Amino acid sequence: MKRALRKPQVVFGVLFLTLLCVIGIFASQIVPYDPLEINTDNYLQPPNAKHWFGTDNLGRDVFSRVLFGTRYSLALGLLSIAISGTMGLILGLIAGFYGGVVDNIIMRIVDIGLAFPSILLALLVISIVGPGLPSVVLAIGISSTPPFIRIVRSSVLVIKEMTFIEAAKAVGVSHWRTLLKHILPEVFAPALTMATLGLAGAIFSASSLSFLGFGAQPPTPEWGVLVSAARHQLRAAWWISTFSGLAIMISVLSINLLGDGLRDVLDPKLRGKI
Amino acid sequence: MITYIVRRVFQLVITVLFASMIIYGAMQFVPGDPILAMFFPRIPSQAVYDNMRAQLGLDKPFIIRYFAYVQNVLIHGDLGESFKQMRPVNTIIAQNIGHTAQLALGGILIAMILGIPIGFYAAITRWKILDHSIMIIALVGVSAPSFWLGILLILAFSLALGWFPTSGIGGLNTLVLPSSTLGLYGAGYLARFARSSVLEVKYTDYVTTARSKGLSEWKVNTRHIFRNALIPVITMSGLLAGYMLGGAVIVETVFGRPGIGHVLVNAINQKDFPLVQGILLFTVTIFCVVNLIVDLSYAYIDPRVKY
Repeated sequence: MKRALRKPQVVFGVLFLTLLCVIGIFASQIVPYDPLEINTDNYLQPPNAKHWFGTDNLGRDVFSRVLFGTRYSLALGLLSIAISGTMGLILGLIAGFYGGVVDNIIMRIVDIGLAFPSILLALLVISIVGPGLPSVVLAIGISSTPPFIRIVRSSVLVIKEMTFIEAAKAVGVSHWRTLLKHILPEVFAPALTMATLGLAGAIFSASSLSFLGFGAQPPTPEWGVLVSAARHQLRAAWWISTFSGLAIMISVLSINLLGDGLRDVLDPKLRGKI
Repeated sequence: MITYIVRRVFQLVITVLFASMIIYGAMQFVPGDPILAMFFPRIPSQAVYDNMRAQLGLDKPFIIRYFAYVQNVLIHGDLGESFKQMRPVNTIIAQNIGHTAQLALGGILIAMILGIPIGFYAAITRWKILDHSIMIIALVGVSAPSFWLGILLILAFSLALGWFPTSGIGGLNTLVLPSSTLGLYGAGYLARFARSSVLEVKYTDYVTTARSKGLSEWKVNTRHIFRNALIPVITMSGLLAGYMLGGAVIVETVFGRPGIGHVLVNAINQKDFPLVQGILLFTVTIFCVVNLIVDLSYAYIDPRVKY
């Protein structure tokens, strides 16, 4: 961890992620205007001193809406990664540790999951459960699980052959104890890297699904919704979509930087794999 | 080699079959009645309703319907009929796949032409700052959501400069912005991958040997480093083709371009199950076949690989 904190990109990523969390949690206290307040006298104002990111067609302050959007994007990302992380860890550990038939079944399911481009798998889930925020979490959680299982499993396969596991077996440590006390901590590094990069991917996908109209619905100030709504006023107002999208890009970028940095420090061999 | 190909093809068939089961099965859980959706906003009489149900085979149990579906797909290549458009799914796909293929192909080309040289250059340049700057730009490419990138391109090149149309299909000029939107993500991805691929080769013994026998830096780079580094990069480019199929869903929506991604989004909104499952099955099959071809072509590109 100390070594990781010496990398500038990790420090930057951690700071930015903290900033996002603070904005997300205290959004209602920070925003200069109510993000939902309609003020038709002030509609479509370009960025100015009062409205840093301008106003939209209903006179709502875009800056406040973008700040509020942090809450949705971050929550969606964290919840989806909680689903895929938990399932990925459990199934990956089981597949790697027990091997044999169990491994075969799990990995064939993973193969089927990987046979879908991930956005299509998410859309498949959406078409069953219908649009909405919980559906997005479920869709992204499920669609990002297969690669997670793969990475965890391949790390378990390497660790399983190490001498200290053999030693644990020799002194009669139970399967469960070996898994939880000896293997799980070793899998932590690749899982953390995977989860960080997955968080960036989840924020990215969540905004894409909302953009397509399957996630958050207007007037919710979610970033994908903001860009999508602004699409019809491109000629009149470039600022709405530009700033909302910029928020997504910067967030995804800094979380990716953090993930890249963690990977390089914790597990350089994963470069190019995740 | 032959046994390997046979085994892989067999695996592919099994995977696609299971995927089809999941897609078909999933559609059964969709809430809402497909027949009511078909007639919406009108409400059919009970007789019409029952008649339609029997005609579509919805009164039979799931397993029977699934096997009938698979049989139809395998023997006649028939993906069924769209509930909403009352046309065969095959026709709809056939009418739209061309647009999507052009878009994806354009995207891959832009990604390769831009991404690979940039990544290679970043890896061999002696200026650390240049390397870092290039990699940050590449990361921006990977982190910018395509729906937003597309809108920025429209703002800059359609609305401000007026070089390209904002939407529609037709000549090459309608393809430039949508393909660039897809391609820039791919370029960022490939640049990152190409760079790390070169770094892996750069310090190998045979590169040192090549240099010590007095080859020019240019020859060392092109003949010894790039040629070897290119192998995984080509594979990755092939795999990106799969991403392009998914990305088309978003890019086609942004640019209002016809294509299977656009059709899929509309079909999900209209609860047109046969169309949704047809397109998903079609795309998954293409995705798997492309991946398989990329894997097998490995042996051609890299003579050291034997299966």
